[in-house]
Amino acid sequence: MSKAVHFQSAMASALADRNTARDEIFAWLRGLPPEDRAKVPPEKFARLTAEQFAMLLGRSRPQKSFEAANSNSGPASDTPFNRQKGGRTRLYGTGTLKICSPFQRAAKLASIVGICTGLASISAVYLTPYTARLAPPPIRQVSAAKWPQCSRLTSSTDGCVYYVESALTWSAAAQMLDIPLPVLLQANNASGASPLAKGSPIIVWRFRRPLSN
Amino acid sequence: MVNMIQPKGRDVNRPRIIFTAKSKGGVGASTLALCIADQYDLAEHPLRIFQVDNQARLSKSLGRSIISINIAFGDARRDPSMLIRAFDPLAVQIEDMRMSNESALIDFGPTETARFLEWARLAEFDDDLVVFNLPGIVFVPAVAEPEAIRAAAKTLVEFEKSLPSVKRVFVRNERDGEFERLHPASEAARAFREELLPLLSSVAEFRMPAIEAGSWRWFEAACLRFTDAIALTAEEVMALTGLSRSESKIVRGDVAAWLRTMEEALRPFFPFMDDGNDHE
Repeated sequence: MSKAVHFQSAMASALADRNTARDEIFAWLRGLPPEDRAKVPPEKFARLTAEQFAMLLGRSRPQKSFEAANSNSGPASDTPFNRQKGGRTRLYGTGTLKICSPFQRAAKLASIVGICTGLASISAVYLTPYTARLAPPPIRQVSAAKWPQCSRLTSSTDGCVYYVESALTWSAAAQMLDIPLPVLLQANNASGASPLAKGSPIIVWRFRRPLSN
Repeated sequence: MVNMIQPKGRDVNRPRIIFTAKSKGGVGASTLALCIADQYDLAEHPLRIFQVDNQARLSKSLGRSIISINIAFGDARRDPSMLIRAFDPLAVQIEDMRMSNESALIDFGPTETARFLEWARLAEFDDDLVVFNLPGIVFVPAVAEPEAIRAAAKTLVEFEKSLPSVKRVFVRNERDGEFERLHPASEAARAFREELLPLLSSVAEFRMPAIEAGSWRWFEAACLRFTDAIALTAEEVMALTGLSRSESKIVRGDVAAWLRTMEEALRPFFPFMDDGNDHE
């Protein structure tokens, strides 16, 4: 047998042995519980093919619980890709990753959207007085006869007529409107000496722009 | 695009002179020389091996079958004629090869490559090769690193000037990564684009892959040839590396896979490799 033929035989044998040995190491690593696999020196992983390495990293062997992993004494399962719906798969270390079904993912998304909408609504209620002040002042005619009616006396109320529902003093109204009392009295052409009776009108005007004709 | 030399005819037994040259160390020239030496050994073709390198890497692996030429450059500075005389034994040996039908493999160190080319110009060595009807081929490896790329380009240019009859082959040593994956804005990519790429239209080239996962290091430390490493039993590899049986088989197999790839890469340059070397 020539040297080359003898060597080619040795080479073929070495290549075949390598494939077998890689499969052995892959099977061993795949059979390890993830917490044990995390302790394996990196050189062992370097012996695998790229595909085997990807299979190990991309798919962890399913386990029902942390307790089951710790009490694992039997041989490793040969089904690395078989997961139960909604089950927990342990990754390296002690953390867990919740595996969700599409329905569960949709429900989670819906609840997140709901929470966000609620927060936005609450924020709107509390922020309205501030945002209203930032809004441009209304345009009103000199005559208040056609002004709209105010529903409430608030710090953002402006350009409307409020009809008193129960007896009210001018200073209390000014306080509710957050308007200086002289300004409120000026707008209503009143002295402020007598309290407002039920049904009395209060012209709410903050003088942020001139009245139009 | 990789250019390959197509051998002319089936002049399988024709002796040739093979250079592995570099202007920078650590680019895989001696590894390549060792691989070529293994191919000649397997084919049982006579090969005279010269090492013109103070590192003496080849002689450690190939033992006494190698001729080392050490040049004391310090002395050459005092007496420039020493530079010419230093390579004279090489010229004598090569002339002698005509009679013995041997090929020659010459592995140069980084400093020695430039000195040899200087000598080749002075001694008109290229004319000798033509007269001796001795085809020459030079392999210039580089890793994907700017200095190595520039050095390879310089070596290829210098060989063209000094030994125009010698066929030039650029070897992409992918030990440190593939050349195609160099970042376009990197210094290495610029060096490749500006200095090496323009030369590659007239230069053959091939890829020298990395040996997987550093599997060669134990065998290299033991000064083994590739063929010897592959022929080791699993027990011998275990004793050498301290690895488990499975891992020992894998590292030996990694070396075998690399050598097989190299055989395919070198086949177009060495016609004898096509004879009686049917794999699988």
